[in-house]
Amino acid sequence: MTAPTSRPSGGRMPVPCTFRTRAIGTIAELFVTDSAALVAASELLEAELARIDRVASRFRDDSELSRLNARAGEPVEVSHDLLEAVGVALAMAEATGGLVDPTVGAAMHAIGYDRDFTQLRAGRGGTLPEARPAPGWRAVHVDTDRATVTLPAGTTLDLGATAKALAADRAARTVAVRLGCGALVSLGGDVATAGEAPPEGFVVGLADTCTSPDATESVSIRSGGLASSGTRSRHWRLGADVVHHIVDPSTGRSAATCWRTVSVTAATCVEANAASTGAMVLGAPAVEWLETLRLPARLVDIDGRVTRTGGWPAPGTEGHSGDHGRAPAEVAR
Amino acid sequence: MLRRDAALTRLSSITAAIAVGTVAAVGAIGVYVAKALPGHHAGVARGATAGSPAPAPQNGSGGNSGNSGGSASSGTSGNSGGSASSGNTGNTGSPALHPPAAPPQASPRPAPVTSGSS
Repeated sequence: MTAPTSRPSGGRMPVPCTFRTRAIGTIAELFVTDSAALVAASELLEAELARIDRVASRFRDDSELSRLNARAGEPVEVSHDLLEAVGVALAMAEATGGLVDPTVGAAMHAIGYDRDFTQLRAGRGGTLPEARPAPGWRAVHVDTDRATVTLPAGTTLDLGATAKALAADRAARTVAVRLGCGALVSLGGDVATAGEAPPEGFVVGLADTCTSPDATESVSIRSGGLASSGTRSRHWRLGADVVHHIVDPSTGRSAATCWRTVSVTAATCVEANAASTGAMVLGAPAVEWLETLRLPARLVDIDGRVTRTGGWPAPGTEGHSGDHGRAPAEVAR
Repeated sequence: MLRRDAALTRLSSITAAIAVGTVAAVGAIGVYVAKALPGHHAGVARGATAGSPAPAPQNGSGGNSGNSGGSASSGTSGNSGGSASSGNTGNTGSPALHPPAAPPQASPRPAPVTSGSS
């Protein structure tokens, strides 16, 4: 854990106060616009991180999600937190037309992602599983009156595509509402903002990996979320093949995508992340899809060519107002 | 004989008039009731086309058409205080992906945080 650090508001950093820690298998970062709120804000963030890990981790045997997965085939009473996490995952599955589907848990296991990623870096033995569609999000039954979730027998939920972004949204909102300041929360590059933005906005760099010190460009956002999905970080060797963590629900295999990294801004981090992950799965048609949705997006293909759409600004256009949602896709090297 | 035929003709006309009047009255009552009790109509539900699903729907297998009550739609935007509600909260329309309030702007400033895959 890194202790909170405070920087003078008149310095070069766009946001004065930072807190950084490691949790849920990634790096969590917090920025607030009021230095006096930093300690309390970091405590709120850590509480949210502990909660999402306790509720939605697929790698903890004692998590609520693991207990739900173990009882597939019968109604299971769940907490409000898991009910919310499952509801958000199903909502995003519907919103993306099934491109992002939480029922890919068994497919994740089949390609070797059944443990924390740090244990996967060295690779695993095995072979690619036979292509097989995921059970499908429509088969999951949620009864909000009884607070139960019923998974079809043999179905394993994986909330990885939405739970982290949900935690970022929740943490940023909680900090902003309770402490009355602007807040940015980044969980492994899934960025959520809430409250009043600093005058220059919340500045976010873009890179293939969130730990890269060399962001190729930066944008400022004043509200909502920004998320990036890509294959550069979480890929590993499975026998003779290289696989990654973005699974195509229609095949149950790592998505055969033309994109290296897709970044999207949306009204929330959850929606931005669903769109960026969906775009990775969709491949080349994603540009048109994102244009239709009017979502500003930056897509980097496997050769490094950058496509910007939906009003995503090109570097060097500071101060120019983007033509929100109307700009045709622009490709640049 | 002629008198009987004339009577039958009158009776037939009266029956036809009653039938037409009944149909018209039922139609008028239907319109009145529809206006008096909004909320049920045969049109496309509000928001049914929102969300702009992907060009090619994925994952057709496993579609449980009897699951209409369990497809939770969750508020993922606009929930303040970190208490987003979830679940089927009624006919709130299909979940959608919403653009941000304003598009991102290019920034020359150093970024304290980087977005990328993790």
